[in-house]
Amino acid sequence: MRGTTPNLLTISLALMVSPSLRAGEVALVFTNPVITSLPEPFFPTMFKARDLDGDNIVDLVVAGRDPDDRLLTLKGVGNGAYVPLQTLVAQGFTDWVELADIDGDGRDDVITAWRGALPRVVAYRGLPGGQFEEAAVLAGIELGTGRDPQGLAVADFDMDGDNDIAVSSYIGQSIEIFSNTGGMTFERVTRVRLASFLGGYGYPRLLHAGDLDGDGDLDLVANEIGGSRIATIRNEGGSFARAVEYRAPLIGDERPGISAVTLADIDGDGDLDAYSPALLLYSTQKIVYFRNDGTGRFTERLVGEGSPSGYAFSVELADLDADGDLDAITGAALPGTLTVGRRTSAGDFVFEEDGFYMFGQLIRHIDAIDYDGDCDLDILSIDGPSRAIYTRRNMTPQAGCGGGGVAEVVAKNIAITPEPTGALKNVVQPELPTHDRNGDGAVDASDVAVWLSEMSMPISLMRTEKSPNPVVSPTQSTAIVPTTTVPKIGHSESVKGGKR
Amino acid sequence: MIRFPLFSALFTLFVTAVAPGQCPTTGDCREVHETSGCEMPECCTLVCEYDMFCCETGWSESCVQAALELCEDIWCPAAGACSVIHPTPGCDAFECCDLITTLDGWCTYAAWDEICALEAEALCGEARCDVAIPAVADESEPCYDRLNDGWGIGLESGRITLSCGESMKGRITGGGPRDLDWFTLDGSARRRIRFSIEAEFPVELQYLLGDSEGPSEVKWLVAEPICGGERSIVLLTEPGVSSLILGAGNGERPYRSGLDCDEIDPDFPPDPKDPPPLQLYGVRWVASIACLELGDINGDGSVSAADLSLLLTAWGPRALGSAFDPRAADADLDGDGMIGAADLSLMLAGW
Repeated sequence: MRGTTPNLLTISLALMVSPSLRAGEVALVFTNPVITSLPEPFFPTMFKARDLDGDNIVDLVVAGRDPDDRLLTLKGVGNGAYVPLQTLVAQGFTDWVELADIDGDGRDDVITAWRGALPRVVAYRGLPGGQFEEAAVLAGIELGTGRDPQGLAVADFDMDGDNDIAVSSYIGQSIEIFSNTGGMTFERVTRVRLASFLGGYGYPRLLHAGDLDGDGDLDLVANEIGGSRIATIRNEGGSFARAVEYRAPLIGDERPGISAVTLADIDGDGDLDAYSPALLLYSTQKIVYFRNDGTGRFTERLVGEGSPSGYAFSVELADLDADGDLDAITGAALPGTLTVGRRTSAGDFVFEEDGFYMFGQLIRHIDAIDYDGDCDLDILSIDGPSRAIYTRRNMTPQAGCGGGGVAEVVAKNIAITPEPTGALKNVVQPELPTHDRNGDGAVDASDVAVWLSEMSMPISLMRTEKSPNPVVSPTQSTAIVPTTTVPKIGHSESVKGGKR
Repeated sequence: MIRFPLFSALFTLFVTAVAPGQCPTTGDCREVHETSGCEMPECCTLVCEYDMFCCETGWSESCVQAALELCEDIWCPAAGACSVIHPTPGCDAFECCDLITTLDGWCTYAAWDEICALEAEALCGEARCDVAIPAVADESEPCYDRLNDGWGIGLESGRITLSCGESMKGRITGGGPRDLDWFTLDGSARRRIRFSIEAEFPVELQYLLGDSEGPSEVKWLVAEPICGGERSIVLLTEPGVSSLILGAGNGERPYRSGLDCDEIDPDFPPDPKDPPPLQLYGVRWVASIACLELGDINGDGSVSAADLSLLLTAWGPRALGSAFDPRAADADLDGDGMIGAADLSLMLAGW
């Protein structure tokens, strides 16, 4: 590591409103969060939001790294808070979860990969009322589930009418693809190796499906956190080509760590582009945009502003102000921050920072969903070390269908309300890893990204002296949006998955 | 014995003088059994040296506890056939288990998955061999350095230029980053070359198209068994930046361990307490490149009726993606994915 980290906590805690608003444009405004705390020692990694129990309120399925081997479903109560719905028994950590109908009965099932020494892809079949059956193994090592499957994509890859599965093998450095043959059985389609030309470890993490080349079938994109690359794998009528890999661009003179990737049509040209958080050690955090030329090749790489502090780990692009372009929500680590950037125009990749919120330690996952039914997109984020889900309601005046005057009043109140600082007073910036975690011979941002990605417990240095649990307490916003803490969920019966 | 067990040189010298003769015997070292000793040689010796009772009377609970503490990384042999996938680490043939778990750590602590089984099938029972290295140019890369590793590592590195008719020798070693040797190819036009390689280790050879920033596309990757003599691939190279990359692996994963560098890095000399370098296989290779006519599909040095026959046999669409095997005749002379009249025309031009 070259010198000491420059990412000091030079943070403004106030919600900032950009002075550079175009005519008719308003700043993005969000409430302080409703916090749902998850039980120890659950370390949430990702969630999937959907109405599971049919009450028209969004519920969650939460994947996580849990020594007690649990997967959680949470019931939304309507105000952004969640209470326990069901504890599902896993065998090993889970990093990603999907909701899709895998058995053809018309109900969503929970699909995930159990990591650990005996990796398996499993489904919890959906039951009425938002409940799920015990896990059924869809693919075990006999089918070649890879080594440490972390990311997961569920889609009809062979276009035969049912959902197939692809998983990213973090240690195996490959993508494993399985075809649904009906009756909850799967057969192996192929293994696609990634990063085979690297001397270090590529460590593919996340995986998403989308039609990149416009040929009607679903291709795959993955991020290689160890290689600072993303990879595309083209579907050619149900069989998959070898990967094509793209490196994150140099930003200044630094190669960023790429801890995630997501697909969206960023430039509005009808094809799917890719974007990633860009973790940097020596400047503010960025977002990298890989522009699709329409043929599935990313021929241009652009860089937008992400978070002014911390280390970028997650990012979501969504139209938060309903103006037709995609705005950015960047999640960071150390400290855990959320930065909301308003896209200045659909034709560029420039964001004006409208909100900067600091709370926990590591924002692992972000989603923009309309949880309150007012037609605009609210922000849900998950903090692994803090074991918390934060829900922030979108109060941007021009967004939504139900905010109206109330939204403006609330926005005014919130705009002058600082984020809570209680848990941050004694924050100590932890020592960053100084060894070559991806084995590529250099210590750089990708090693920090790998380190953050592999974290499965709170960072002790980030804890305050008085509060062993870094989840912060309710805030001034309580009067507007009540803060709720989910009661501890009892330990489930679990079967250890072996050495992790 | 294929290899000298990892980190056990001094230990072996020590225990052979004091350990009882009952090691190994039968029974899992991690389970109580009536007979003395257990089946994992290193673990059995460790435990009996610690508690002679275990090798004199029976393998009691205290022996099991000692094994669990002393033998944390020793898993061989273990239940399950080496060539068969099973959900526990290790396998039942000591030498094979010992070899594969040294090459592939996953097989040591996780499940014996299809890659472990594949490795066992390919490598167990195969003797190592020495390649006769001719007096040709050397890649000039100390094995503790990474000078010819293209953009495959996080540092600046170069590529080997090997011209038509030239040969070169070199070495591949493991570690982090593992060693790769990149050969730069003439990208001025579509060309046919014959790349020949002979190596003392399991070879992975891949053809990479593109530059360091991407798109980087591995057009194909093949693995060759050890000690198979010289292997040649007659390939068509694409215009633009492309590289042939030589490394150690089995086609499913690279090998990073068991191919230690045995030279002393003057900047980072080894600690005397470090275990000696472990080379399960030799680390040397020798390679050559021959430049051929585009239409010389079989790579025999001339464009002839045999090549025409191969082209006509392959008429139609060419296999793409992972289905493409560079070791099969490639008659797509113009690279359009179809073997047809245009390719025939190109062939006849070079007749």
